[in-house]
Amino acid sequence: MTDLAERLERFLAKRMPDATAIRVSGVEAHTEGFSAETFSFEAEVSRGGAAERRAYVLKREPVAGLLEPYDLEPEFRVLHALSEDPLPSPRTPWFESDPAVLERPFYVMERLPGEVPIPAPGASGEGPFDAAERAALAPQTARALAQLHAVDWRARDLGFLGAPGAEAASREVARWTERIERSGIAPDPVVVEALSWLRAHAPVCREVVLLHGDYRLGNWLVERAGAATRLAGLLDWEMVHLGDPIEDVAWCVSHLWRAGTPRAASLVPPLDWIALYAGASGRAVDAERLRFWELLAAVKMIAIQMTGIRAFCDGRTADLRMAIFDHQLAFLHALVAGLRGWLPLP
Amino acid sequence: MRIPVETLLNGVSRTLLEQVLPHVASRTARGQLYAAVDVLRNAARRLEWAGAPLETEAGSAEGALRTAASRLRESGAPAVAERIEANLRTWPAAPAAARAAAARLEIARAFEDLGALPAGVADAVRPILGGHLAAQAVRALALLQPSLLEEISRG
Repeated sequence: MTDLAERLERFLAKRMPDATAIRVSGVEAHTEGFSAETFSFEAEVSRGGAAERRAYVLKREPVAGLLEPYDLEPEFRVLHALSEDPLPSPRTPWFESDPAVLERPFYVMERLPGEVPIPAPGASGEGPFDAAERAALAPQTARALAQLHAVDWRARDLGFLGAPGAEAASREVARWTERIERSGIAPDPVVVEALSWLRAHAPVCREVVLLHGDYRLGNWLVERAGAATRLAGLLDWEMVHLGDPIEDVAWCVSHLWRAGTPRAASLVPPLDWIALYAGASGRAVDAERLRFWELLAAVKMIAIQMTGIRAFCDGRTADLRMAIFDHQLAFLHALVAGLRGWLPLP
Repeated sequence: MRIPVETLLNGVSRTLLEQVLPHVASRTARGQLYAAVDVLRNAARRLEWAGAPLETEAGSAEGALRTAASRLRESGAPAVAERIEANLRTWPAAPAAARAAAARLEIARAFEDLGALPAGVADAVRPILGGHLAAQAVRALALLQPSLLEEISRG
């Protein structure tokens, strides 16, 4: 879309009718994410004689991808509801569903400062952070998750996300099983067995909280400053939903995001991070519940990758990263085998 | 691997043409890109996934299933044992991909059968099948090349 800047100017003009002039510049597509399309841009907004420059990020539904079918409106509504909350989520003023604007639905959020470290070992093999940064971020990430789980979702009218009752775990197993089936790709027997175990061992959900759904290294905006390193933002809310808080905890500490280290999110040993969360939330994390959600996390990732593989096979995407998942599934199958006790886990 | 080789190579061709070529200025490089696409297109219909890993997988599954069936017979679950052994006889001899697919299906079925058996019986047999899953996971990992996900993310 070569005229994205012009289209954005027209969009912003309608949303800010008091502006006398709007100029969009620096439009840049971001390729880090594997799902919704992301663009950053700057808008200079003139009102009377004064001009203000602001940085924004736009997220647009892709044609095809890992989390299809897409509907960005729920995540927009959550982010919008949290816009004035002390939680480090970006202020998100606008959503647009009219395809005439940018061909597919999108929302615009304010750009927060910082960088997004990825879950990779890095040159040091220690992950993306040094020791001082790890020490600073571990409590902040635990605290932020506890804050999120403390949000009164009923008061914020977030019940539209669909509140499960005590059967939250079973619901999630069914959701991800359905996604695997929808891929039309036969799951590996290690996955079939894991799903059977999950169905038989789904814990009763004792409390329903607002879940990020993808709370992990790779979705954290960080301002690096040694011991003063700060968690500046929580990104990628596409999998936001209501459910068991331990689901988010298990996803965060999963082997999936340890960046080749023995540490949860490459920060601190998993049990230490869990203790930080327990302290911040006042919520105990029992081992059996955690075991369930850790296994579901691996199965969930397999389902997501199978969705991407299907999109590639169907020709609905030319993104070769979807094709890479085909051989990358071997890691996930080994993780599931390890979590089920067939293989020793690192 | 779930993506047919032809689909994979044609997908690579498409990505090179749609997402890489428009950003390549050098005439020499563009020519090489077109040549790469030409090679891929012509290779696409001539290649299949290597048979040896698939045959190894099927052989491992067969061994695990026969051992499981024997144990089930000893444990007083002859009907399940017979079902497994009868299904083993229906596996196609070739191609390797079809045999491996049949093997995966049967391993999954065997686990489901165990779910309906008394815990004492199932718990004695489950590790036999689990051992195959573990060995297969290790074999699949051994085939992987070092990941470029970090480079892909950074661009």
